[in-house]
Amino acid sequence: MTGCDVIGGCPSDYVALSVAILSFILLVLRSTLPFIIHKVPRPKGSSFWLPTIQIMASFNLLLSLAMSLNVVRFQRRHWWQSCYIWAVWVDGPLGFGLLLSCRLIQAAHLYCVFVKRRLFPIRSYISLPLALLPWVAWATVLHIKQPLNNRCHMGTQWASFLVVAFFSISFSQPLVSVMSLNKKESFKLKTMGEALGIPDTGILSQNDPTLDVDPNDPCFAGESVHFYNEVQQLEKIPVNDPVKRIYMVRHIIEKYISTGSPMEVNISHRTRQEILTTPDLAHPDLLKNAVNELLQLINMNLAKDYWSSMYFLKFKEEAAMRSVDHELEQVNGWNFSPRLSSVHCPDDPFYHIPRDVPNHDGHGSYLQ
Amino acid sequence: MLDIIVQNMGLLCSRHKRGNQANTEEDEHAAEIERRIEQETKAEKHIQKLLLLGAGESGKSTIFKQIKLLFQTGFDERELQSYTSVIHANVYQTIKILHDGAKELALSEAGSSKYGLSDDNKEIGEKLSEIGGRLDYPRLTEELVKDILKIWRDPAIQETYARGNELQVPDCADYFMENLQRLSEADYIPTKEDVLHARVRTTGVVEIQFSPVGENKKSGEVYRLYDVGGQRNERRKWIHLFDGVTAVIFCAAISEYDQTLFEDENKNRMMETKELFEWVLKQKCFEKTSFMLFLNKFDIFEKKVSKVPLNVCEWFKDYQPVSTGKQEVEHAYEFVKKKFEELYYQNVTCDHQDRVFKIYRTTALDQKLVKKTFKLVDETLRRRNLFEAGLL
Repeated sequence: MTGCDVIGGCPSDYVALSVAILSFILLVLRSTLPFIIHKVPRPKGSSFWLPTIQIMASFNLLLSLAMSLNVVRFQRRHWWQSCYIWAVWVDGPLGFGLLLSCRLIQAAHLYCVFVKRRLFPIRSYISLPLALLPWVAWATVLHIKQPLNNRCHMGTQWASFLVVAFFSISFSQPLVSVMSLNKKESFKLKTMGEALGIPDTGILSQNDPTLDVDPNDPCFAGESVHFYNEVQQLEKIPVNDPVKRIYMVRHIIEKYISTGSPMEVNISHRTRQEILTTPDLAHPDLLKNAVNELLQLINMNLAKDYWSSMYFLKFKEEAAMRSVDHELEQVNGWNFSPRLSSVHCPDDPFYHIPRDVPNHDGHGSYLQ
Repeated sequence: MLDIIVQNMGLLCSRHKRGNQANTEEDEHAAEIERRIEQETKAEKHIQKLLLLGAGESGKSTIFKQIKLLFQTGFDERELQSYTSVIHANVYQTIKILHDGAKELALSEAGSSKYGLSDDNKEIGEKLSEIGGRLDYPRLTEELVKDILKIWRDPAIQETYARGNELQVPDCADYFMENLQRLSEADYIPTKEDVLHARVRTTGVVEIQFSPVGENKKSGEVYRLYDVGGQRNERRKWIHLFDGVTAVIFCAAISEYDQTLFEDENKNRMMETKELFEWVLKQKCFEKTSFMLFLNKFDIFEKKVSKVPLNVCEWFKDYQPVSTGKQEVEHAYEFVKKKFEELYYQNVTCDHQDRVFKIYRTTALDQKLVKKTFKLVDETLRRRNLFEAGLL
């Protein structure tokens, strides 16, 4: 007489399976809803793919456990029901191994960023297969040696322990942004600076409609302006708070610096590489060259077109019409003209650029 | 009339970002704008839209400047003066690139002392490189010019300049160094030539309206020409312009077959141009758009071909030189032209049969040549319009 613990199909199995399926559905909902309901832009690169792969791996793990432990009672007739497919391959390299590898890579990224203060040198699409290799090797050995009994048993219990240990620690994202997914109001946070609680007095204030400007709008060199604004926010974080700085820098790199990033700025290969391979992410001069290059770019473009541009003429006309308060004029000037000048304030948005470089030779400079 | 149209382009672009400061005055203003836009869309129909496309530093903006000089008002004194800062910046940046480049080369080729600056020049070099890294440059003075020339004539810097294709030395380096004395004069006003040589990396989109016939605007076609930034990040902005384009003027700098991209030094510029041209050809919006391919920077190509074999570029690796001198230049040019031709026809399907494709050999700095080329482009486009209207 064999019990249901041997041939499968115990009521408790079904209960466990239902709970697992429910949890899985909740997990999927929890990770996709913010993107569907609040239209949060989808992150790019490994910050999107690693969690997605983890969800897939969780699904594989669940499925493989259900199949290999015979939760649903069935006879093993077909080759695809073999223990070695489910309990070894799907459970190992495609399930738990994949899950664990993703976690390890995330942990390595965080260790690198926050302890070593540099970006992880290996791209995820290379490091992930590498981390998976031991699992593949292990599965191959099992496949060849065939040590499993006909109930596919070979201690999954120690694996369960690791699952609990690894998943009770959530260490993948800034705590603020993890928490912000729980509160609806947090979606009003428009900038990383706000999320990190930096008092904001950047050139674009929070209520400024220019923040909604599409960086790809042809009239604007919008990405440069956004970049400059976020770098200003970064500069407000004290140097003795490296963790905050690193969050902000990482955000800036992902958004503006990496090749193919959503608001990539027009900087040289050298400057980009310097930033991406920096030995210290919290260094105060990390983005200095990039900012200089971009201000130079904007200045030159403006010097070239400003005086002759219709935008300028129009701006003058419009400014005369609107004899209201000075602040407003400035803000609207921004909406209006993508190529505001390199010339004097108040119609120059960059007039308060810190001129920290002293003018050694005492000769005039163009920007003053 | 034209003025209103052009002015309202500014409004078109800014219209949707006015935010929501809703008050009646704003609304009235908005309604007025809407009405004007409607009027102008009617007028717009007669205007032919031309796009200048191409990778970074392919000469789009130089063509754009030429058009301004040839068929529009040109540059007034204030505009010319505004180029002074750009030109001086070009000088400082060139020196910085060469100085830093020499240092790097000296490090990577530890065996040879070719790239080591002489001892007196080292200090000057450091100073100039520091200036080149600043945000705002001092005006060129006689003293600075002396220093710059000293560095420029240093054998190490000249050796480095000979390897300029590995660095990002702008094409204008030679020209400005030759004219350095003039550039530093107190009452210096850039000449037309200087402005054409000045290197500015364009960002965003600039437009200009012109009629190649010149004075009598009524008799000729009216064109609106758009100039864009060519670096990879800038290309995202192009897509907004792709609707209703009469012709694309695609600039390909044929002299850049041994150089790498400004934004990615692991990529050959010619290979990038090849891929970019293919991408542009495949755009759905351009099914009925004519293609004018400008094989630009022929002046530099001419000088380079005899020194650097064409087959250093992967795309041209089956090139076999036949002779020397002028004949060889022609042969090389024809080879490149044929490659582009092949590329075009590989990317043409039956949907594109009625589009015009022409290749022109250009040197964007050469005003006469650009003028002639544009007359030809204008003729081709007019002929095509007549053909479409069934008159030919």
